[in-house]
Amino acid sequence: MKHLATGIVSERARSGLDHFVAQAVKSSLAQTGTDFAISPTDDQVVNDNEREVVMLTVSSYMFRVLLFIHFDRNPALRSHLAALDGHPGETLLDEERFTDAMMERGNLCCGALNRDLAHFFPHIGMSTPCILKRSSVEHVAAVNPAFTRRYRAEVGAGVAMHFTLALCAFADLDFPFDAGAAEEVQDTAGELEMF
Amino acid sequence: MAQILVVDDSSTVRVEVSDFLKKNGLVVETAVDGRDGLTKLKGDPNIKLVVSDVNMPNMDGLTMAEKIRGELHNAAVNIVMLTTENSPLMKERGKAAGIKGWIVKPFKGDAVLATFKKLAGA
Repeated sequence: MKHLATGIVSERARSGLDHFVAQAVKSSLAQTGTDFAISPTDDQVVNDNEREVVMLTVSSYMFRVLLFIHFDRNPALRSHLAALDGHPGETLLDEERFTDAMMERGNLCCGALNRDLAHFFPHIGMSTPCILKRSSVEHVAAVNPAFTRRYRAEVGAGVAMHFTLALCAFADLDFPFDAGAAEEVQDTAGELEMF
Repeated sequence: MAQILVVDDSSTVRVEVSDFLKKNGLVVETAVDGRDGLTKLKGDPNIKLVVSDVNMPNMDGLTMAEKIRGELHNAAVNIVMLTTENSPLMKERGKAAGIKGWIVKPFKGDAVLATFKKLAGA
């Protein structure tokens, strides 16, 4: 296999990605008003029950970010997604509806990540999400990522999810991420911008 | 005879948006992509507002907006994009097609209801 060139990812770029992933997961998958926590994890075996992932990508000519949202079709996540979609107390039993809801949550997550990165990289684009078997993630080394990270998040009461980030850098990557300034940025998602 | 056409390939979004608008007294039709949206719009002259996603299979939302103006010669219907995309280039293309507004998902109904009612002539 031909090896792709890999750049060096700076520490502040890594911190920025950690922050952006956390914000994207929080805004797309966490129930407003409930405790939310996310942190990097060293778990190599994340959760055997999470047999599928939503894969999403954000790309520029300098890099490609792949984010895998691991999920399990369990009752807790089915209820969680129903609540996020405005139907608390219900459970998404229909497989097609569950899959669509999971894809749409991935789409929201990808959009949030894309918007945060676009502040630093204007020429950036995002993919539509797709669902893969989790075993696909085990082969992510084949794309020669310069940086990988696993996260574990509590997105709702009794609902934990895992995430895998892989960054392919085609050149050295750095951007002036400032954690303090990032906290003050207001997300205008949901507002109507009139032309 | 609908007032608003909601176009999105995600059934989750179609249900979320149309349920909210119906609960607030609006008559809503849905379409699964841009091609379906054009067909539904052609068949219902009462539609005054189209709320559409951008990235969809078969025909994307911006192409649909261009065809509404260029092929259907419908300059009257109001078009608002509801999408995770926030690219200035896409917005410029939308403006050139005469779209009225842009919403970055998620959909927050209460924030846009009054404007939607106005654009739908309700």
